[in-house]
Amino acid sequence: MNDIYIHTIIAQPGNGPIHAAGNTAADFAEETREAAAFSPARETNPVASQALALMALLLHRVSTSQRQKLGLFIGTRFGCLEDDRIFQKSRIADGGKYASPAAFRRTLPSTLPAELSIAFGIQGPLITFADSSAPIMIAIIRAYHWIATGAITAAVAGSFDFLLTGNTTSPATSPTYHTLLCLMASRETFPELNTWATITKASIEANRQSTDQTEATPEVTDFTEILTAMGASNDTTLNLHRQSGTHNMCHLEMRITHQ
Amino acid sequence: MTARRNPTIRLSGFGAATPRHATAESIFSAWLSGLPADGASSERPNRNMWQILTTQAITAALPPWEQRADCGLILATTKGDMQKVETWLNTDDPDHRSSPPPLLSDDLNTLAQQFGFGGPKTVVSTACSSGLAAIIEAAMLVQTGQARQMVVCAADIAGGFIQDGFHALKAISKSHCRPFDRQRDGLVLGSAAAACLVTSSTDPQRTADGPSLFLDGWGISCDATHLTAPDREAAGLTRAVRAAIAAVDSNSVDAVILHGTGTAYNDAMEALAMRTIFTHRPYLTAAKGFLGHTLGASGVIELALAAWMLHRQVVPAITGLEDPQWPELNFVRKAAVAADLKRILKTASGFGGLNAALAVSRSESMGP
Repeated sequence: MNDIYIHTIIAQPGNGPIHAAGNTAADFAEETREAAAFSPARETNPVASQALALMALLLHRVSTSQRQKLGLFIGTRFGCLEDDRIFQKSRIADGGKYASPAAFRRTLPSTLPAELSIAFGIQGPLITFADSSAPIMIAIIRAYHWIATGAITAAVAGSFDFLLTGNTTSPATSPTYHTLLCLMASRETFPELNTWATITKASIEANRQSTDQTEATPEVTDFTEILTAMGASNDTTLNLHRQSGTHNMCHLEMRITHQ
Repeated sequence: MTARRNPTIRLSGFGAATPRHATAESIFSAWLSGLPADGASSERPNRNMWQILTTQAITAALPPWEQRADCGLILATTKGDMQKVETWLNTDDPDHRSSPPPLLSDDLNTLAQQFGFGGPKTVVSTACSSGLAAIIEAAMLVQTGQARQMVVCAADIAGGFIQDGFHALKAISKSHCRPFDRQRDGLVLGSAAAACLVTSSTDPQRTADGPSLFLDGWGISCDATHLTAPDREAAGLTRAVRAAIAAVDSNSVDAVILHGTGTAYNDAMEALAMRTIFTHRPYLTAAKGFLGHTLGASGVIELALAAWMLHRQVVPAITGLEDPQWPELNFVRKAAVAADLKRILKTASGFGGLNAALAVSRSESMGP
């Protein structure tokens, strides 16, 4: 199978620090203004602001013409439920006379990925996957196969999620959100870029060992797992396995090639 | 944008269901006979419509029980089972502590358990191009050996949430949907589910009932211009279509089933793309004047209609089209046209400027 590289991987849990691998923080310094420029407009949806900012960092060495050819593969657990809630409030306000068109146009899981495509001029395939457990791994696995078959040469894959849960007036149950994105490409596409990892296996397979027809939906996605993997040292091999839905098993094997 | 030649992919077992019809064949026959529009703008879906329609659609595409262990499932949808979502949104528990959020993956897992699919499963949601994008995904999974066969089920229910949203966008017609007509004033929504079986054509034991298709090519692209409006220059759709027909002679496209929503900008964009791409004038038809816009289901249900067009060798007329705004194009109106059809192009475009196109040709097989 072809070598597919992850050049850069970048993630941010909530309003915590930005984690990156494949490029150093110094690489990002010049681009912080571009990233910040996307931030202020979306007070109701922090993950939209976050995703736009991280995307600017991820693609700062990718030219406009290269961006046009990218594919965009995004996984999500909650999709647009928070935007659904905003639109629903507008539906029921004032006896339903003033449903908000601005809110409605955000009520698709593909809205934020489309926003990324518009902001960064991405004209390749855009596919949003919904998965409760392994949205990041599914996005990376599918991007891997699109690149491996030659349908595209490079892609951004990753995940975002945002849902208000619990009592939002309590700090202990404040809204949680996160974004993780990575730049993937075939070996010859971005020779000038550093490489964080080489993907050596990527598959979604039937979990033959499981006979449980009512497997519970996991309470968390693979975000923390991938974030931890970003700290792996050079020359190590990562084997990530994760149950995805009923009888699905995601496998992702990567060799860390640069830190 | 991508271009793939898929000589080894066969699409069969087309199932489709709307509130008024239970099979793809009956929907095709009703469209062909010029029955009144099937759109559901004034209808409110009943409580179990999601389950009823998806079950009817998938049943037609199902491989035998003993083959389902290596059959995967892709659910293509914009919003999933909106009855569940609306119930969750309207809960008396404003902090949603007691009720788990309704996830699209739950809809997928419910169907997977109901029918015993053992292969790869995922949900694809790319607005109104979801159905065609899911077929492309399924074809790639089969081609790369990730799955031996895949069922794609595309479904959406046009409930109050969605109806109010399109009303807010002022996209709903005041009367009826009139694709490509000078007097068109918007879309009509519909509810539907549709499904098909995606297999390798070298796997002859894996074909479901009914007319089947070869997937000759596909393309998928982003406009990268606007969250809801299509690119006025039709650049994204043009790229997707050119990719879909890259491996065949463009003159061999005998007919196109356009997205044809009946909205001002979508139809103008598609007309421009057709004028730009084709030097000959293939028959142009569209089903949303009859079916209504079934959102994420529209790509697969209209592909099912393409299979029946190729099988019956006839192009149904565009319901609602009386005075074409682009008379130089070969729109089929008023009456169906008998034609020698070998290859059909199906296009779809959605919010976010997401475009997809499939070129399909008739497979001789009618299935078992």
